[in-house]
Amino acid sequence: MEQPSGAPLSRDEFVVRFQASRRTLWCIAAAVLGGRSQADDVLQEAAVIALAKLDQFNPATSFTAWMGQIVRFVALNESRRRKRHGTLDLEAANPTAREPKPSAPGLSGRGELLAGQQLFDDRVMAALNTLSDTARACLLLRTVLDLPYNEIAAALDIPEGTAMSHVHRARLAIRERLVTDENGGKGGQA
Amino acid sequence: MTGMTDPSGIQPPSDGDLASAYADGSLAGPARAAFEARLAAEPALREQVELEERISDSLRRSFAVSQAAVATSVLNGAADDLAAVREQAELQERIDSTLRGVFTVPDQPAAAAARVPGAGGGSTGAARPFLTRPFFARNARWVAMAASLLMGVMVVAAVYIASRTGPEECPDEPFLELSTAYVTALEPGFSPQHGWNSPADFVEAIRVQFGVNLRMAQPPAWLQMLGWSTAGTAGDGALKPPGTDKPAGSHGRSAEHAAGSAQGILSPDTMTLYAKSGAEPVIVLIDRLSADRDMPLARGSQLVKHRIELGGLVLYEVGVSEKAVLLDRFGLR
Repeated sequence: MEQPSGAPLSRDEFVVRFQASRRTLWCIAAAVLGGRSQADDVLQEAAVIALAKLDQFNPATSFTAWMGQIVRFVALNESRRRKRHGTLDLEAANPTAREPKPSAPGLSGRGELLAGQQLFDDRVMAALNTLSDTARACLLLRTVLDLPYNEIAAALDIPEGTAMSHVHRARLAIRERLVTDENGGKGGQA
Repeated sequence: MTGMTDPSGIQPPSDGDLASAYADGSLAGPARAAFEARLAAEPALREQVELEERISDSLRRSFAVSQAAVATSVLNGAADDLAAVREQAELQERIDSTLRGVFTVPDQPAAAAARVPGAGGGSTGAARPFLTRPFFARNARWVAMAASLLMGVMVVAAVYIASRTGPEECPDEPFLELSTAYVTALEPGFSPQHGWNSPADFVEAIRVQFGVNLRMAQPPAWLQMLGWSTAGTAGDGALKPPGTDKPAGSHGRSAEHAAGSAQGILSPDTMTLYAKSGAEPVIVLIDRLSADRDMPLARGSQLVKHRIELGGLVLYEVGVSEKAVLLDRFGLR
């Protein structure tokens, strides 16, 4: 087990680092949960746990990676808890039950007509949720946050090549799934 | 080129691979230029790239909502949130410490002395806190959470009781925040006091109310303009909490306070413009810049606020659109 080296992180330093990593951590939480629902709660709980274990963090190592592990752990627990209690993430189970989109109905931010956009988004979400947690996290960190692969790898504690491979295969799987859906067939594989 | 194998035995990337790499931004240099040349000539390849881009856009859209929610409800309030987290952790530590102190059972007479640094005592180890390891060490967090919950309930009860007291105990801060204003605007049927006639009529009402000459472009057909309400003339359009006849924020307070905190979200003079973007209600709150204050959205709210300043006025648009649909139609005359 890696032993902490150097001065332990103070709580103020934790706050600063947590804020800096928050978007990445949120994406990891949303990826593991398969939707944005409760990602904020997971982050909050992870922060509490991290604060209680602050003396275990080695400041010489990546804070995002350390925090990312805690977030994944908490998110996985939450995910298992949902399954155990039979609670469904409405967003993942029924994408059309999502809250309203942040754009005028049927219109893009530029006022263009976007017929079928909601349906397309729902299909993408459904396809996304056929992927593994790690693949989802890689894809979201790359696509939503535009993170370089070395940062994705660091945040998820995986090799950079693995992160690239996950993103590439995730893209192909989603595309394949969408094309299959479009043709009226069964969904593709994760 | 899909599926072909070159003489070296290495399978070249498929068109799907290339489309994915192109959309990802990882296709660079001559390979990118060559691929773009193919794109111009091959519609089928272009379709693949367009699908990739649509997928990326879709993911950004779906998760941008959450980003916005984080940005407004958590990121902007990160200091408060984390302060709360820290307080919770500190409370937990204090509870742990108290429990250890209260439930410590000396396993031999000198144990207490042994816990004091520098004291001899002859103990083979520090006193083991009673129940700490088997139960409280595992459950102290839940105890802390229960204590926090209890404190939270007490605070809510205290706030509720305070809200039921007389006007002399009313806090100075306005009661409504933007999300509540939005929701309560919907409750009475989203019906303003004054119906919509034209942008000219509305800017004239603004001039009368605030003495500022604005201009307003004609809204597009997909924006349904309903009208506006002004403060101090409580009517059907007054913002009221759902299920009550009282203006929002009153809760048994004085009429003056109710007027100031209900329709007058920023001040008793606040004007509220009502519109619908498709099926989604949009409100615009207008008041003097001098009355402006930090107008938060509720924690976790999916609503989006936009803000501009014009000629000494501040305008807040609240709706579900990431882009303001009404604010950019206003300008100074």
